[in-house]
Amino acid sequence: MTGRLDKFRPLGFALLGVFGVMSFIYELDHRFFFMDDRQIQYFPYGLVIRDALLHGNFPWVTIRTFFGGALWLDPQYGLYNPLSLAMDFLINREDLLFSAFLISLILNLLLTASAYTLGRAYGLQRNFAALLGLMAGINIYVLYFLSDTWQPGLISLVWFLLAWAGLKKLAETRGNVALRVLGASALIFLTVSSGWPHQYVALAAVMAVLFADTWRQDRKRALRLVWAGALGAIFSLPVLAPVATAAGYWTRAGGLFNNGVFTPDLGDILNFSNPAWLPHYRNAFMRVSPVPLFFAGWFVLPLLMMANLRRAARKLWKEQGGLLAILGVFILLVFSAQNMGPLRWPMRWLVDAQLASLATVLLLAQTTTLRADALRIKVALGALGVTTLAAIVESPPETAAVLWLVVLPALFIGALPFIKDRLAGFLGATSVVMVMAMALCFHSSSLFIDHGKRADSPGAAVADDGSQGYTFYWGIKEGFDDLSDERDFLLGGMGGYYNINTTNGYSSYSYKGLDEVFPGFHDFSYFAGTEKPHLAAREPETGAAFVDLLKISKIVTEKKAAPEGLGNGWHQSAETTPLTFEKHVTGGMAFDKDRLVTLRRRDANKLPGTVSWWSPGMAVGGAARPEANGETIDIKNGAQAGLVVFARLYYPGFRATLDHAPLRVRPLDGMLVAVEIPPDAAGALTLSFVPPFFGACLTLVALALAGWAAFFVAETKGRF
Amino acid sequence: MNTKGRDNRTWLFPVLAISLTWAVVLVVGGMTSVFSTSCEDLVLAYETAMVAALYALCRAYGLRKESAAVLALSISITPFMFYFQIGGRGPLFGALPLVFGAWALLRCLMATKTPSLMALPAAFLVFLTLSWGRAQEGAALLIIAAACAGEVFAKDRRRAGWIAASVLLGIAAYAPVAGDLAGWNGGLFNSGRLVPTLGQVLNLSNPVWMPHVLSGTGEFLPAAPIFFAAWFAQPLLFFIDWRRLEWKGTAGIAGLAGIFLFLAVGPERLGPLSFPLLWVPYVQAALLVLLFTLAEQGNLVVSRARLGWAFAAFAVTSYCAVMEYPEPALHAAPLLLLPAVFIAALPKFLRTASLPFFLAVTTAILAVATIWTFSGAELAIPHPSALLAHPAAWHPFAFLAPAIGFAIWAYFAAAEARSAGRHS
Repeated sequence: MTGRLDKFRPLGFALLGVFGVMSFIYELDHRFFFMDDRQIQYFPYGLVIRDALLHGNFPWVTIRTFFGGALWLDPQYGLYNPLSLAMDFLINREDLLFSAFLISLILNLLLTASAYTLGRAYGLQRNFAALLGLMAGINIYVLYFLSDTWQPGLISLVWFLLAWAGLKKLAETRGNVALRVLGASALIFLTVSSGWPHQYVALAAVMAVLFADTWRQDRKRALRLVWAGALGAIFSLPVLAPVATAAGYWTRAGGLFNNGVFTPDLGDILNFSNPAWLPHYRNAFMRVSPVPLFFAGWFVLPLLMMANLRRAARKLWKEQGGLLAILGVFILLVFSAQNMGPLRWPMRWLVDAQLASLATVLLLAQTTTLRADALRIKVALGALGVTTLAAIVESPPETAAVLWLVVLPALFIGALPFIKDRLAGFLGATSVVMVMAMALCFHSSSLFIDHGKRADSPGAAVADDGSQGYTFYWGIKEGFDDLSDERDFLLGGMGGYYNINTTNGYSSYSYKGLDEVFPGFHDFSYFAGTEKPHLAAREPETGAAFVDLLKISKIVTEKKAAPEGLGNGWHQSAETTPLTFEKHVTGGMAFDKDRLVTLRRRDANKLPGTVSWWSPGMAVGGAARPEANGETIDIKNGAQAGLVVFARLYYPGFRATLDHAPLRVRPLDGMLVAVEIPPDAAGALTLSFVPPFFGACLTLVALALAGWAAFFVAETKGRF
Repeated sequence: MNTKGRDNRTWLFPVLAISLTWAVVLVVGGMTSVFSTSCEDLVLAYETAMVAALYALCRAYGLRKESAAVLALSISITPFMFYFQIGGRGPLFGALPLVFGAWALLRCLMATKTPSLMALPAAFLVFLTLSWGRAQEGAALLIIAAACAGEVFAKDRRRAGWIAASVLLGIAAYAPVAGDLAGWNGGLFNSGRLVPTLGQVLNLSNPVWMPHVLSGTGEFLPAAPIFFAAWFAQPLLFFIDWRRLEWKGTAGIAGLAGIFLFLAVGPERLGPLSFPLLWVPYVQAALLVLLFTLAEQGNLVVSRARLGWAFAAFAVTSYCAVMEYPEPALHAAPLLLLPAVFIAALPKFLRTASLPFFLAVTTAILAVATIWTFSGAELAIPHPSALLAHPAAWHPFAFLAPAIGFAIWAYFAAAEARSAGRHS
């Protein structure tokens, strides 16, 4: 037993390392893991889904699934994903900050384990595989981008790495494979259902390369990958079919263009061994990243310097050509356009590329004799010097403030000649120290709260009111403590893109092209004086203001300032707008650089449910009666045909009935749900949502499972 | 007669206010103002001077005449030259030919038998460059001089002294206005404007590579392949037998390429220096001279695998080009056919005397095709048909550049014929 446990000792240390780093960060700042999209999307939706489940309503695909989030086209909420659902049950309303930490910790530990599994699948020894796992768990992009905000991205990474490992093992296994085929296809489904389309592409690339690589050796084994892929695709149909039916949205959100947002450059990718590399990158604003976003391991360059690269590369090419090909594809994906169909922000492939390259480097370290002689150490130190110089060149004053961090890798490199046979342990331990030191440096930074230190962030200004320091999207103070309030989700869903809708010189370039992505939504602005249509503009068919149709009762965002201190349009909010917004500044000081600005409508919309408008001559009475996947209201129409508009984003699958008689549902202005009401109609109008082709998809899944069972029986009986 | 030409307006350069743009003496500028009748003449004069200076530079680094001619042609007609040097700052403000000329002379000082004689014209060119009034060109010369002196210092300190002396002499002639240096704005920061990235600068072989670079006002620069320099640079890398290379003697130019590369990728403000994009011609010149220095060693190997890698690399840069700026890149995609054909034909010429001829002709063809394709872009030079319709195109001076081109071609043809005769 002890012997078996010993096998997992390296993994245990890796998990301990991840736990240590994350706890350290949490202790430094309890709010670290409760950021941005996690506040406005994932936690609120998670609670909605959990409540629905607890009430016996399995939310096949809720209405909200598709209209929330910064990427509302992506099925991000993982309604079919056990890991996503499990995380929903860990949200504690009383302590959101600890919930966020706990969820991130669990996911990062799982990520560590799945990267370890992948490493093992590629033949890494346990200690090197554990190092790969550790580096996945404490990867800076993972910690500062996924763990604190983009929960589905983290979940998809966990499943994707396991699927990759499963497919790799499937391609290599001899003998009975039915169970492995099922396992691999289940992992494919889990990757897909986690709702992060970038991993779909990564998975397809992995499968294609594995297939080609295996096909050269053994065609029969290669075919297993096809079976697993086909089975996985069928399992994924209930998730993908509703999305596929929304072709209108796909074409709207599609297109191939690049506005430079979240697109790393060659220098960013190459310089992933330097902890002081604070790259310029673009999100809404051109800015210096307040964390070394691309750092993936201080030891990568030194190891390359110490290896006999020519011989090692030849060996690697011969033995791990598939891995190198996958790495190449991932790097190309990172360099792809900002928007490719429904995919955007190629930086989301960064961790895939980094883990593939780390696996490659560790295989190299494992399979070749590393020589830490004086010359090579000097060269490694020289390389560190060059990358440091590059860091200084990239962002001089910012880098200067954290330059002391470079001392650590210099010391570690100097210690390498004294490391005999515990290289992986040394690299792991020093990496933990390195990332902790970086956390000390950068914990007060945030990718989302601009350059302001967290201690000075808007949340901190109101931290004493029991709101745990976060009021800007989800604040008790603002009266949005009812987390199921539909309006919150609408804000969450669309506010993200309203925020950047300014046309002053500094920010307009960043999101140039988003008009093409969200023509229906993005054309709004709540700033006077911009070229965009104002939220107060009238929708042509109804004549109502968009802000009323959307039932927006509050817009809350933060001021983000450009590095030079240029405002990003907030100065414009000082102007009088026709929306009768009142300006409310949390923390007191108006238009201070790091302050929160809240615009709130004076008159809260009191219409029932999510109804936001109906035709003149129609009467809508009483309160809306919520249902599992919709709501019911009472209406009475006049002699003219009429229209009822709901403040929900239109998506294929909406159905409406009037006392069980079907009515026509159509999009209003390409975005809102509108129900056509015949003349003189009266009764209970029920709006509901059923994912398109759901029954057919389930039938196909059942048939596929039956087919697999037959294959399994035949194989166990020795017929294959 | 006011030869000093210094008044309030000399300080009024709007874009580069912090740069030393006052050109107090303006020897060359003054001459061009006196002798030129139109801007088109200046362009031609500028281009001619550029070709001559680059040719001299390549020769100074020991490249063969044919190679020097090819590089001189390629670098002087890059889109960067058209879009930034000629289009925006060109004959009036660009001192690049002077820098390249001074660079060539400083390099010659390392090897000439009569350094004392060479030092004087070198000092004069340094002076002329500095008198142009651009901090960037001045800094470039100092870097070049330091690299040349450093390279030769261990072997021959006297020559290093001559290099230093010629630079100091050139600077000394500028001493009367040194007091104004105090007026420079300094600073060290990077806001990303006119700062290319490493990938953008290094991807110099793809004619549809239109990189995202922010302009001074924060908008993206117009879609134009401003970093395209030589289609053959990247493919040649794959035909060189790197194991048999002699690196001796390349330290200086390699070091310069590295330094210029660093300066080109930022920071945006480095003391009086701003707009790192303007370092790009220096990077390209140094990299191409280094490449040809290595290629001329005769270690070129032709194989299918190497051709395959060259194509693969071209495919990758083309992919990156499309991804960087999809819409205009796809519009210009047919242009990619030309380098693809050239790469396919490259092995045929690689080990023959007609390689420079092939490179020169293909470079010219691609340059015309590139100009034609992007003629609609903002900042682009006019469409060729418009150029031909312009009276200046038929100015006697306008025939000088084609005449030079024809002379180069004739020279190659004769050299090839001689070579063929010897082999037979």
